[in-house]
Amino acid sequence: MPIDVGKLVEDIMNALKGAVGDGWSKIAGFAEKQSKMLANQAAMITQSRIDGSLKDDDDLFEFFVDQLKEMTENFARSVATLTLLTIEEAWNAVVHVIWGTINSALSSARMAGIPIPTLGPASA
Amino acid sequence: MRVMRRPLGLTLVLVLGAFLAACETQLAPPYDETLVEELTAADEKTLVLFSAVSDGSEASAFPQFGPRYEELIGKFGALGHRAEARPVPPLAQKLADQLAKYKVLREVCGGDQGDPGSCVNSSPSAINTIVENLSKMRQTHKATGLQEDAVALFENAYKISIQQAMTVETALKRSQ
Repeated sequence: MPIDVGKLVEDIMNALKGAVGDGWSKIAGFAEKQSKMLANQAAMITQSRIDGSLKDDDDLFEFFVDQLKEMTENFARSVATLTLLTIEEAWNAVVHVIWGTINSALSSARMAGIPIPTLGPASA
Repeated sequence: MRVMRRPLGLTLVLVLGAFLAACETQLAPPYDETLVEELTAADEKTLVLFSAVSDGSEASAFPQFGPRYEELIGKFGALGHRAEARPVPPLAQKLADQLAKYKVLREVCGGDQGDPGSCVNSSPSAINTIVENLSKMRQTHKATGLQEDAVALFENAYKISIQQAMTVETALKRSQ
């Protein structure tokens, strides 16, 4: 059975749109919520330093400022992990479509399939 | 009655095909259902604690809260270890090592511990921040009591970190 190249291209694009679209939607939603919460924390620290309990508490003020930096770094790390997951999903979706089509054609000719490739030599 | 049999060759092809299809590239750690469930349970208890002190709390009231702090700090500490100890896929580790070659990424991904893996397995850092946050809150409560605006700061910081951990952990449950 010959491979329908036009349909394969369409299937690849649909798989890619699904994987990247879902991944980006998760990252965008998460980033928006985190940005609001981090901004709110910065405003609350500042206000408390001006006229709240942090006004005369240098130790607690420094703790919250240092922690704000740490949480901002953790936010960036979380986005990095979510981005890697999106790349992973996109790669797996595309190779499944391409290699699935090849193996389906080989199978209908009663021939053994070929292995789905993985990214990088270390994961092989 | 004639029995229809699938040829052995075709069966082998189908079995091999199913095996090959199961080979996935992974760039982040595997999903840990127990970790997600226990984070959810600890989150509920922590929110109850914040609710109990939301109007502020005197240092004299600390003894009635002490065991709850200890339970939560211990629980999140254990969950952080669990998240840290899980295997990182080899390719993800390679990526982390590559990221560590760039100064800016090394600073963000490596943090104080210098572990570039925190960009491919970010939850342990977020959970560790929760432990530090609750420990400082406990210390402050015990020493001077908690004022209302300080509770709000501890609570918002907690919510930022738990959201980071939960969002990543639930995303690790791949869609397939």
